Amino acid sequence: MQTETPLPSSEHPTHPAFNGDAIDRKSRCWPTVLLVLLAISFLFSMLVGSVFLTPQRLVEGVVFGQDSIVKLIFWEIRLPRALLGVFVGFSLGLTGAVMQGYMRNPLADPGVLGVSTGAAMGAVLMFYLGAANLFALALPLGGILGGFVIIVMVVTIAGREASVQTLILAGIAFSSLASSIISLVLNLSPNPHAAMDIVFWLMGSLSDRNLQHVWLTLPLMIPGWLLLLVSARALRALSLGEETAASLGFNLRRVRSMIILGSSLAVGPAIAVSGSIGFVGLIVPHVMRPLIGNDPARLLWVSGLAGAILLTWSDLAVRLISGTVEIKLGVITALVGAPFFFFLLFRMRKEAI
Amino acid sequence: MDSQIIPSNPAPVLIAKGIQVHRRHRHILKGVDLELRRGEVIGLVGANGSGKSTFLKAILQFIPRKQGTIEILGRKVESYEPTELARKVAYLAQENECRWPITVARLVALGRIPYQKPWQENSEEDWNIVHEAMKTVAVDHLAGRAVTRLSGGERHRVLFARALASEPEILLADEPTTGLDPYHQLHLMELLRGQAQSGRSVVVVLHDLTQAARFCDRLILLKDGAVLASGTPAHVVSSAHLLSAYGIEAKSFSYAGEHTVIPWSVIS
Repeated sequence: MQTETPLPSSEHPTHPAFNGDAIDRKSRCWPTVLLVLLAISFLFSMLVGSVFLTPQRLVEGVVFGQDSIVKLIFWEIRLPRALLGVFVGFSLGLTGAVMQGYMRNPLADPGVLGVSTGAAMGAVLMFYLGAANLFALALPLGGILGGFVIIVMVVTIAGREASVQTLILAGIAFSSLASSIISLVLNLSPNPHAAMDIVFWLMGSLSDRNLQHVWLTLPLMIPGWLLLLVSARALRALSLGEETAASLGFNLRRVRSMIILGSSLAVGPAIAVSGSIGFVGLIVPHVMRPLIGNDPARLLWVSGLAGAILLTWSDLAVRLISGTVEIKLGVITALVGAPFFFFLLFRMRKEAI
Repeated sequence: MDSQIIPSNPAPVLIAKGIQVHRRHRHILKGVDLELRRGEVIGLVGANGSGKSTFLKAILQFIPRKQGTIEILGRKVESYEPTELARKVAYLAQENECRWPITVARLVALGRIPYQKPWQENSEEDWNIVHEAMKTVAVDHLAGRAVTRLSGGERHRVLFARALASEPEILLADEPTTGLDPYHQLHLMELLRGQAQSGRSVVVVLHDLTQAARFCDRLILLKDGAVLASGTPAHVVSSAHLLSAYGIEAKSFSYAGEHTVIPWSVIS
C-alpha cells in the first residue's frame, strides 16, 4: 500500500537509485515479442489468399496429405511467398538499421550504397535480353549480379580510405547510373507490353515466386545477416564518432568492409527476388529506435524482425485488397511509408518548438 | 629545441620519440618528442594547424607515422592489441556530438567496451564503474537523461566520464574545454588535475594559454609541426616563444606564486 516515491539517492553509498540495467531490461523483451508476432503473422499468411483456408484444413492437407489442392497451395504458393516476405523484410529492416547506424544518418536506407538500384538494373537487363522468358531464375540471378557489379564499382571508386561521405557520394553516383540504364532499357522497349512488364516488376511483388527463389537467395542472405549483426557493437561505439570508436579498439576499416559486404549480400538478393521495395528499411529503424532506448546495437535484431513483420502484412494487404489487378507490394509499402514520414515530421516540429 | 628534466621523476608511461607524420607530401609533424610520467599533466599548445591534434592521433595509431617510436607503459605501441591499447589509453575526441538520444548512463557505459567480449552485456561491475565515473564528474544525477538534451557543459563532462569508465592509465584530451563557459572550463581542468593526482597521466591539447600555464605540469609548444619549446609553463610561455608561435604579445606575471600569462595583442 506504500505510494512513496523513491528519492534521488546520490548520498547513499549503495546507490539503489542508479540502475543502468532498468533501461536494458525493458528493451530486452522486444526481440522475443517481435519474434512471436512474426510467427503469428507468418501462420496467418498461410491461410489468406485467393483461397481462404482454415487452420484445420491446412493441417489436414499438408501434414496428413488428405487434400492435394491445399498441399499444392501450401508448397507452391503460400510457403515460398511467406518465406520470401520474411527474408526480404528482415534483410531490408536489418540493413536499414545498420546503414543508419554506420552513416550516423537517420535518412540512410538499405540502398544508399547503390545495391538496390544495381539489383533492379541487373533484373531489368535480363528482361531486355529476353532471358526472363527463357528461365525463371534469370531475373533474380541478374539482380544479384547487378547489385554486386554496382557495389564493386562503388568501393573501387571510393577507395580504401573512403570516408562515409565519399561512400554516400559514390553510392548516389552509381545509383543514378543504374537508374539511367533502367530508363534506357524502358526507352528502348520494342513495345508497351515489354515496358509494362519491367515497370510492374520494378514496383515489387512476391507473387508467382517458388521455393527455388528461396534456395537461390537464402544462402547469400544468411552470411550477409551475420556480417551485419556482428557489427552491432561497433555501431554502438560509432554513435560518438569514428575517432572515439577507433579509440575504443575498433578497426574501422574492417567494420566498413563487413558492413559493405554484409549489406550487399543481404539487400542485393532481396531486391533481385522481390523487385524494388522502398521505405521498409528507412521507416522500420525509426519506429523501433524508441523501444530499445535508441541503442544502435540493439536496433539491429528488432529492425530485422519488424521489417519481416511489416513486409508480411504488406503482402497480406496485397492479397486482400487486390481484385482483378494485383496491387504491387512496393506500392503498399510506399503508401504506408509516406504518411509515417509526415508523422515523424510533425513530431520533429513539435519538439523544435 | 630545449627541454628540461624534472628531478625525482616517476617512471614514464608514454614515450614518443621523433614522431614524423607526412600527409600528401606535406610534413605535418617533423620529429616531435614527448615523455609523460605518471601523475603528470602535459599541455600541448600551439597555433591552429601546428600539429597538436595530429600528434595525439599519431600516438593513438589513427594515422600512420613516417618515423619515430612510441612506447606505452614500457612496451612498443605496435605490440598492443587494439582493445588492449583501448584499456590503457582513453581519448577525448574534439568531436563531441552523440548521434542518437541514448541515455547518459549508456553513453558512459561505452567506455566499458574494451573490457567486454563481443556479445557481452554490461555486468553489475561494469555498471558500478560507470556510476563511479559519473559521480567523479558530477553527472550521476543525469544518468537517465538523453544525451541530446544536455547543455554543453554537461555533455563535455559526460564524455569525460565515458573516458574515465575505460579506467585508462593515460588520458589524451583534444581541446576538452572549447566552447565552454569559464565555470565549466575550470571545472573540467580541475577534473583533469584530479585525475592526475589519483595516478593517471594526462596529455591535453589547449588553446587557452592562461589555463595551460596554470593547470599543466609541463607544456609542449608546437610550431609548424616541430617543438618550439618544452618544459615548465614559466619557461614555455615566455614572450619570445609566444611571439614566434602565435605572433602575439602576452603579459605574464606571478600571482600567489603561480606563473600566469594573458594573451594581450596581435603583433604581426
